[in-house]
Amino acid sequence: MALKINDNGTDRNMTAEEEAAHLAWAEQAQAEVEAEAEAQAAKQAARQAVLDKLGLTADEAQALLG
Amino acid sequence: MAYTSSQIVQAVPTGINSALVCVKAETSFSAVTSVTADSVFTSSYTNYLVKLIFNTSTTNEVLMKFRVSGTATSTNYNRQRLVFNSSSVTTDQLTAQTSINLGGTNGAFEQSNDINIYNPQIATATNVYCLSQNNFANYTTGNAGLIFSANQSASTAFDGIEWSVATGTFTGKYSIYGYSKTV
Repeated sequence: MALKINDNGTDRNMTAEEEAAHLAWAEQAQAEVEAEAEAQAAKQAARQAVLDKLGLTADEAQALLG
Repeated sequence: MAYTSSQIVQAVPTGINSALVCVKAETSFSAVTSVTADSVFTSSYTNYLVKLIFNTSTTNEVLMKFRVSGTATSTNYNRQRLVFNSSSVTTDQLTAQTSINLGGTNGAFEQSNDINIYNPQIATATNVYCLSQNNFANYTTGNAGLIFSANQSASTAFDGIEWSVATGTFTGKYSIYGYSKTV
């Protein structure tokens, strides 16, 4: 099924050229999105590790920081 | 007696009605992978405001790129983001990206965006400041705020803009306004 584009206000199917360009870019973009999600998860895990070491919940840590 | 619109005369002080000039009328799109708006950035205005509302078909992200003569530029995007939601305040920075990631929703819940774009039509870096109201998967606990500071760092003059999703589709509407340069 062809991908759809809203081309300056008109919905239509992408041309073969447009679709190929989009799919090539989308692969890179998806990798960027996944890398960002992984970075956020790693940041969250590091934060949780510190909280665990201190024996605090996230709410307690927030209360401490004001 | 009823009046038609052509019979009504409005008295508006000079300048009041010209601060923001609509350069792209509200445009709706439905279940598409990509949305383009070409020939919207011109020398008539230096800075622009885009009102963009969307929801995504699945848990995916809407990605923004600038265009020149109908072709999207997929390099040199940098973004700093602040996200505040029910449980946390987080920041993240992305550099040398293929687009500016505006975030996403999931299903029928909308994300509303005020996107300020500075100097797109001038051959210098194009800067973006965006405020977004996000409802991730619901309108209660999913309510989140997003602030983006972003740029396309090449010295390129752009005349258009594009939003796309890497997976699934998105639905919504947008309009584009130029900030008047004169009083």
